Amino acid sequence: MTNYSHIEYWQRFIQGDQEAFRSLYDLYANALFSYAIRYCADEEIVKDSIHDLFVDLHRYRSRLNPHVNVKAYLFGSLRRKVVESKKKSIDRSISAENYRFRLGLETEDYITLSDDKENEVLTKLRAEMEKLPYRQKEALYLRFTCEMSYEQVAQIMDISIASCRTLIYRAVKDLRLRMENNKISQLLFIAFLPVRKINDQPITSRSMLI
Amino acid sequence: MERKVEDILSGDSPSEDLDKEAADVRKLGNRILNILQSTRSHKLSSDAYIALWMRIEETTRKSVRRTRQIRMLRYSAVACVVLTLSIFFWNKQVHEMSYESLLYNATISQNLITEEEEVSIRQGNGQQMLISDGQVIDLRSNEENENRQKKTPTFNTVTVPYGKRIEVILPDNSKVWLNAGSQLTFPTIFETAERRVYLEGEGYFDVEGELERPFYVHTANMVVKVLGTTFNISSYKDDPFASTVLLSGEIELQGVGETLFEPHVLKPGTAAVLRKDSKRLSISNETVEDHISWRQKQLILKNTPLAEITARLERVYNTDIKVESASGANETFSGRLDLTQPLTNLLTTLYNPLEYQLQKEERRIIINKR
Repeated sequence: MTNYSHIEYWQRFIQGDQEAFRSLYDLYANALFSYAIRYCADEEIVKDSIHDLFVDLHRYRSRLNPHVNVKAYLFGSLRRKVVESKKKSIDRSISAENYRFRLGLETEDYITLSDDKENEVLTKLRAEMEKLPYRQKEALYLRFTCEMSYEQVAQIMDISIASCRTLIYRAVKDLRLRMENNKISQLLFIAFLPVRKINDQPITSRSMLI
Repeated sequence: MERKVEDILSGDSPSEDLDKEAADVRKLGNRILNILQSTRSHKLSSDAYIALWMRIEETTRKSVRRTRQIRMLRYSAVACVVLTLSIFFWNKQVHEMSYESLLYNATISQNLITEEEEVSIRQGNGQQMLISDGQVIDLRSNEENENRQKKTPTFNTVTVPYGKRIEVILPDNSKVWLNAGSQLTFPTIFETAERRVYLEGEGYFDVEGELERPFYVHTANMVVKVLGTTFNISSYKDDPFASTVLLSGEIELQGVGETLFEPHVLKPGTAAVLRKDSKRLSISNETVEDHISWRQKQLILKNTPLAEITARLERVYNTDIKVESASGANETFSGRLDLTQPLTNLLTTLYNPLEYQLQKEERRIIINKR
């Protein structure tokens, strides 16, 4: 089979190539699912939205822009579809209710490093990341997990590039401050404890000392 | 000025820039990046992946159909190229996916059994037709007429609601009588190497013998491989058992999914009954007639428990039969019930009118002990 770049598949699909349509599905279905399931925990809604997205692409393909950024275009379109069907599925259309983004870090199994201290820090960091505002988490996910450019992230989230940068900046700054505060409070906490009790402390506190 | 980790990560090339920074900035930055980059990607299960694609493909096929003819005239040359490509593409898919497509098509419309009032056929092109009583669904001509222009495997689904039954002639000339509350899904054209159908409910099969092309009946619990025979399969969801009865020829049974048993070859005149709870297959040489008597609109009973009889009558007459007192459910009956009779007549033979009172509502009969 010939190896085309993603944009070539896109253009061949617009010209009416069925095989390219299937290739687009193969290239993006799992990435789209992985993104949207963080947006909406209901797998059926996500699958329905992916279905609608591809059906629309097929139906309106003669009108599609052949020079689009394919990945950002697909992610952005799916995002709108998921939001729409979430609005429909829950009768309350309060925007805050409909906007959820989970990184899903806490449920994962991690390879534990031999370094206990490092494991503790990472666990804490993951927990703090999940506490960030939804839009910040989404920006982090698109920028670093999906390795997208600011231009792509901006297109998907439908905001300016500058706003994207601000989201990332605030998210990382927040994480830094929370991690620093955490360290200080641990230090203070332990400093006021009688010396003999230190050994009874759970690993969390001890590892934070250094 | 000292640079903080947020300055680096919000920049354009965070990983390269981090390397130039102080240890604490670098450490936190790399931790954040590592966590985000190693987070699990939630993939679709392979079944869901295929099923979703088939749904997309089916929907687009429907909408393309209408516009295609116009386009064919205007850009016939272009259309031919597209068509050739699609034929090539689809043919490749056909063999890998024919069984999955059959299963998929069989499961998407099972709700019709309880929702429809009349026998219906949903054809490959998505059209649905209602069939009036006593008609035979004859799909024989299709195999020659539809030349191999078909690009995708398409499926017909015949749905028989409770209270109805129908005879179907399949594209290969095999005949199937479908009992009440059943559904049969099969391709509009059988493949050259094999014939596969999916049955929910009960069907009496008279399969056209073709040594080169085995015939498979898939059900929820087992697969029956056929080489030209007559047999009856009963595989209702709400029955505690599934049975296969062979009248002539030879068939092979195989378990599906959780139902595992050694492939079993059935001899003519025997019945195989699968108990769904124990997942055990038992073979009996009892006369097979009572299993297939529904075709002659008769129900033959041989020490049949009352509960089983009422369950069958419910399906045939599409009526809820509610017995208020539990007594008598274990009572067994032998004999012959004429299913052309009104239901109340049959019930009075089963429930002595001196002891029981029948209360008839629309689609519902309540039996009370006097």
